[in-house]
Amino acid sequence: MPQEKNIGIIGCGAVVEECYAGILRKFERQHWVRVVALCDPQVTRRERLQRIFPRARGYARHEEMFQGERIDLTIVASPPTFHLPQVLCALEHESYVFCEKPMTSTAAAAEQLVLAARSLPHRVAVGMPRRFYPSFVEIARLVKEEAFGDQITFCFRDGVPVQWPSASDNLFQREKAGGGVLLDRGSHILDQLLMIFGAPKVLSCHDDSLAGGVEANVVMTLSFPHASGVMQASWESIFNNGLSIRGQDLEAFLDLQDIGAYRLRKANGPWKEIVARQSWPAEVFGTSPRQMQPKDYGECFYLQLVAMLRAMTCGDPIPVEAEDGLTVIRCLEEGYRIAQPLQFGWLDKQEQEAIIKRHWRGKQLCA
Amino acid sequence: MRIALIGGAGYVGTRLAQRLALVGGIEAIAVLRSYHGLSQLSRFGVPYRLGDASNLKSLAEAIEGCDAVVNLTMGNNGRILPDAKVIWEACRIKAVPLFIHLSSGAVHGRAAQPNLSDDSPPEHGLLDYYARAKARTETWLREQIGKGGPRIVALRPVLIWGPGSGWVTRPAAALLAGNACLVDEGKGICNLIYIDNLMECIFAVARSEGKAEGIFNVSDKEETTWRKYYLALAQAMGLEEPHLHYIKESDFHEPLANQIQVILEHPVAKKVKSVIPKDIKKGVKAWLGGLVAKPRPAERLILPCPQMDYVTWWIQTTRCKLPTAKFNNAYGNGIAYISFEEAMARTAAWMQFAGFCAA
Repeated sequence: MPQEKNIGIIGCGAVVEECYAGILRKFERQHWVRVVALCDPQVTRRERLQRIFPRARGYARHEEMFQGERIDLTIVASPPTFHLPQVLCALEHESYVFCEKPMTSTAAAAEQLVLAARSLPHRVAVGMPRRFYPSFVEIARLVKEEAFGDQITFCFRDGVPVQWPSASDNLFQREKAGGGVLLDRGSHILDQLLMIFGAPKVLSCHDDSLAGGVEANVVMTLSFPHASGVMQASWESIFNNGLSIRGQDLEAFLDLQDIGAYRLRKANGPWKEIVARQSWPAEVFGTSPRQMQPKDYGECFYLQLVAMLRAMTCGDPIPVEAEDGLTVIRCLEEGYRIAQPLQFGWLDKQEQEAIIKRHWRGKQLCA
Repeated sequence: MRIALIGGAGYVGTRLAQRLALVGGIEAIAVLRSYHGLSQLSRFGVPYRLGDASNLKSLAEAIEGCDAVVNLTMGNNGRILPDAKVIWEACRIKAVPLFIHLSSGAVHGRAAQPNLSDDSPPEHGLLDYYARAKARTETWLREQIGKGGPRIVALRPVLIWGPGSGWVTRPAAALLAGNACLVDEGKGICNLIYIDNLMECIFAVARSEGKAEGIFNVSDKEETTWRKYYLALAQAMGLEEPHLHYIKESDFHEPLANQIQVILEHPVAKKVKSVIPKDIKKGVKAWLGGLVAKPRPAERLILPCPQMDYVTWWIQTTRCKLPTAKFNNAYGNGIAYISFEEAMARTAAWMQFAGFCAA
């Protein structure tokens, strides 16, 4: 029986409870991993997770955790401003790292992290479960095969009210979180577009945050080497969600609620629904593991952790490399740098003027 | 003047907070059960307090110093009446003079009773759990009038529409997909109130002093049929020839899935569900889904087909527009209602933004 991998978790907030804990318990039952250490400055947060992982020891500081334990894989799930020293410390202690998105809070920190990761034998992956949406993977393949023809345009909308059980208001203060829906959902969207089209350039960014808050709506225009388009994210409203891609020869629509299929049509022909066939290994060990096609976000989360462990044990590729994390952060940073007030044509004139006058960037530039 | 918006992160609460943050006139405090409501509100810089309508002490502290409280809480049907009781009691303890409660025209079902008035008794037997809970709450609130607590004004909208509303996004998505369906040629009455009209009704009550108490229907000025509403939406979306399907009222049969849903909505079923671990619920759901799932062809043509669910069918067979003279006589002076056409033009701008318009 191959040896279980020791897992250390830095940051014991809602993301670990909601997304990681259940999966890691399943992995423990399969004897693939053992959660040995939990690190968080808040005792109550550590203790909540220790009820799920009773064999894990608690630590207030990450340095102490690495001194006390041999950690094969460190899951970094703390607020992004803390990621850089924690990831560097893990790499120095010869641990692989699985880092929650966004990888860091600034592009400078992300560059430092990528540089360090290149010079050390252990690797860093960024958590991007949407890379495991079968429909997106197959469309990325079609784009690479140039099936869409020239002049590709796209529009990616993702609007769903947030239901995240935040333990504090840190996520909603610009000085602590760095941003709102762009940082949160925009990271995923940008990463998915990166997977399909390559590295983007941010042309414009509009959001709805007044001074003191974080945005709940954002619209960004982007250009890629062979495509251009708009991405739009909202914590406020439900949109006609999905990614539509249009080229001279082919048009596609990918529904975020149905990740197992996509729609295609040739130059104004009838729409067809195509079932995606892409699947991934569902077991950590072995050369011919059981394959699985994810049906929802939770199963994508499961598969990305399996992929990470397989990268450590079988030499499979790292699911999402730190370099890709850096590209996303550069876009986010550029978006916030050039952010303008979003126009709400459905509000009255007085309200629209107030939004422009009190937009957070305007206030910041004046200051 | 300072008002507390309890459940302030919902659809109505967010719009109220936005308006007051941008234009002022009334100071708003959002009262939130948890921090995640800030995802909607933090952008406006609206002050907030944590307070739970199921906990009298926390709520009383949260509304202290306010001149009015607006109850916009949503969610569990079983909490509608208990929450209203707690809010009323918190107002009494903290001497908040006005309690504005958001009820629902759903208490009158399909508005099929002749000569329906604001004070007609609800049709309990015909209602779903939500409407029954709203009706019970109204009855309790009526009993409190004149008992020395806050002045009670319950407003009864039916379908709140406008930018971001589910009564816009659902029909718009169906129209876009060519699946939209009307019952009896869409002759039923669509009891709409545009979000900003409801907002003005709430502000009119909040600004009033010592006026009428009780329960008041509120709606847009116009009487709108479902056909008119769908065609106006389609036009606003740029659909020149919308693909509309028609069914007769009697042709619709409640699907099995809905009957099961009704059983699951029963308070006892909800209690049982609440103690079952999440993983087991997910497993059972997946297993049941697997039993009824049809094999999916590798490739298929997408053709428009009528889609009608129980709630849409029920609401499209509404008989009458609820009367609003009582509210307009008591509070209507000075409210500049936005017309249906203007409201639709604003909603069209939002639909364009949200991707519901034809390419």
